[in-house]
Amino acid sequence: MTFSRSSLPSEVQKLIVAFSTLPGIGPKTAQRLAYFVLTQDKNEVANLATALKEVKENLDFCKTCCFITSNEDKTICKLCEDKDPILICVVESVIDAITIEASGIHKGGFHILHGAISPMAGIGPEQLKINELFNRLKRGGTKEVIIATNPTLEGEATAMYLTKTIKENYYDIKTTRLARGLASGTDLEYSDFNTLSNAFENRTSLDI
Amino acid sequence: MKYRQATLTGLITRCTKYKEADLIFTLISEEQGLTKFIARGAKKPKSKFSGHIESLNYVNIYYKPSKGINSVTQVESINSFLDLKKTYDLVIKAQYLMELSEVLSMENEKNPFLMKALLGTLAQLSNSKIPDLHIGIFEFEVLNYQGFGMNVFKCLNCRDPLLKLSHFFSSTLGGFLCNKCLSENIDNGELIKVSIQEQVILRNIARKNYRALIENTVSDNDISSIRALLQKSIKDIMDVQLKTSKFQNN
Repeated sequence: MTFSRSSLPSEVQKLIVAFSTLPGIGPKTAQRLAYFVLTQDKNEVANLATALKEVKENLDFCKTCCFITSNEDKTICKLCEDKDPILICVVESVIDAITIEASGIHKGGFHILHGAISPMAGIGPEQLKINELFNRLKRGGTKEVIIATNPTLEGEATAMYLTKTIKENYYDIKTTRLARGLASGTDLEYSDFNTLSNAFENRTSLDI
Repeated sequence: MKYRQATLTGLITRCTKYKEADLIFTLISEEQGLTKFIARGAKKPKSKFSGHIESLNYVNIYYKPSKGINSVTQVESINSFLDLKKTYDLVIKAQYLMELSEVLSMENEKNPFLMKALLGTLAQLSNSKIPDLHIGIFEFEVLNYQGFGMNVFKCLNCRDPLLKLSHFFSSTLGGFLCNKCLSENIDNGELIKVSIQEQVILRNIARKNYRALIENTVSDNDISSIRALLQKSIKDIMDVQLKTSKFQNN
């Protein structure tokens, strides 16, 4: 009889399957992680299990910006505190919002979509927090929406969809997109057509 | 030690983030069909790959062949389809074409016809007043090339030429049934009623009479009906539900 993964106890098999659902984790890595868990101290494994459980049970999305917030903070999340509601910066993920917030450049509010429109992955506007953004705009007080989705095909599609819908339904709100072009420190010879085209389109005069 | 380097030209259909800054992408090419590659460090802002490795970019890549996933060493953009990327509807349509081409492609299998048709259709989309007509032509032609061609001239059952009337189309059988055969008990699955004008469009596509299609005004309704018919045929014949098809009419 040959020994295969199916010969392992069902608990280990279940753990391997659970790990392999994580992004970037293939079956081999899932197996390694499962064996690592088996060698760990009971308390450490219990801590990991509790952390996983609590992240789903005790956390929710902010009703305003869709940032991750504790269930206890019913009124306002950390990202919405002391923010100017006139400007809303729309980003794809929580990490993007944290990156912009940490830079201190943007003083307005955020809105996290939790993804980008990607028909090939079956993700449309309904699967994202886009309706929440429109409900927020409906409440008034917003003068400008800054679209800061990633400069990928999916990010651009999301930006185009948002711009089109905002223009059609909220005439008085200005929509802007983060500038695209050459990144600092890059070599021109490695630039692609898209980047060069954007850099030329968005060129600025040098006032020295 | 010098490593062997290979080159390949194709269209990037999808990209997935991998680890900290890597990208795994799928390339559809004339020589090798579907192939996956890894571009290490492509997500870093100063990467020489950044911008080149993006869905809907027609590129020339240099890579190190390996037993596992091939690692890219250099990328040159040939056509970024910038005009398509400026309109939401066209991006959605282009994604549909790419997904359909992925379904019709195999790994390490040459498919020059498909690549030529795909690139030709993508190039026409941005300049066309009726992009759906070009997608319909692409769908019809690739079905035909894959051996699932439609019979749009004769009745599938009795082989008599179809009269100038509305007829019913069977996506499972891949053609029309005349009204006489329709009354007989033939297992034809779900039928779609096709108007005379829609039949004319289908026959012009079958005859490759594209000039007639472009010169004669084709109504949006007729094109939508034909696209629905072709999409149903793809779903029934290939037994696949394309994720992008539900976004086509939004």
